[in-house]
Amino acid sequence: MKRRRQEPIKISSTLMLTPMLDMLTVVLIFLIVNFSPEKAAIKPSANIQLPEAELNLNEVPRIHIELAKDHVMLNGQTLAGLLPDSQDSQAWNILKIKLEELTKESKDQKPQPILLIADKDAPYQFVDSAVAHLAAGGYSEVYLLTSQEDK
Amino acid sequence: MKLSRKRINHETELNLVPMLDLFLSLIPFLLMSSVLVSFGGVYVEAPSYSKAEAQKIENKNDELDLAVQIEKGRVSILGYKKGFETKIEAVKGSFDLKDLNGLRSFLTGLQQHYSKIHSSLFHASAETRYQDAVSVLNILRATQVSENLVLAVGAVE
Repeated sequence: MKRRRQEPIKISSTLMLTPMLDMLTVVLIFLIVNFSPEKAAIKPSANIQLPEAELNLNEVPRIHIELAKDHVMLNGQTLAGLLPDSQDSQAWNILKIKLEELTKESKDQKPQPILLIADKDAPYQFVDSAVAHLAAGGYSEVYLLTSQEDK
Repeated sequence: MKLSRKRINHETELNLVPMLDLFLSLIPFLLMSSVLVSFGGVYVEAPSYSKAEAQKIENKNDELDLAVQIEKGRVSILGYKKGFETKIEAVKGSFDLKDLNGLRSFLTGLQQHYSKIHSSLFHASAETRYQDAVSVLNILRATQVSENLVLAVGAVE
């Protein structure tokens, strides 16, 4: 009696891409929905720990001022010779000049809202001085940047 | 003569590889540029001459203005009538900065008694921790106690 030769079983070796694609689609949609270019532009310095608050940042101003112990930054650029606790009004002139330049560049040429960034342990004096000089320059809309805490 | 018809089997499979390539390049881009920390913000107003003048004209008798002050670890509140001209003795409170629930319920109580709380003027002493100031400002905004939340700042030469 002759034995039948076993035929080799054909195994399909196609990679199943559909589940992977499903997963990637979900991840992509989630990322696109949560993507905010304005918020991505906010980059506080590494040594700054933001204060916590429950309110959401609905409007993201384009002008960012960072107040740290050793520097004042305007849109990521350090303003040479200006410290947040400076009592000398002349020292704050550099901020005023730079802000005027930004106002001229803006569409409506009106003072824009300002986003203030400061460390949670910083003295309030930093914010007080900055807001006083901003108010003197006609900038009356100020947002204080916080990290959002869970309600 | 019979013609035999052979069925041609067309297997149509969607080519998913280019789509996958696109997804795999988009996802790292979005991940890199997305903000992992969720930012929040407290909106305040800096003093403005034109607004102060308008406020004096608009303010009515049944409306209230608040002065909020942080000093020596406590937050104190004083009520005023008519653009901070007349003090209301009944409206005052002092709360510990470590427990701000009292402040929250005090403000909610004020909302029920007065038709409108026009402005809140906020000031903190120079040595106040920024987090403490933000916590109080956050409550003032979150309770929607007043229309305007103005920071009282020092004069600039």
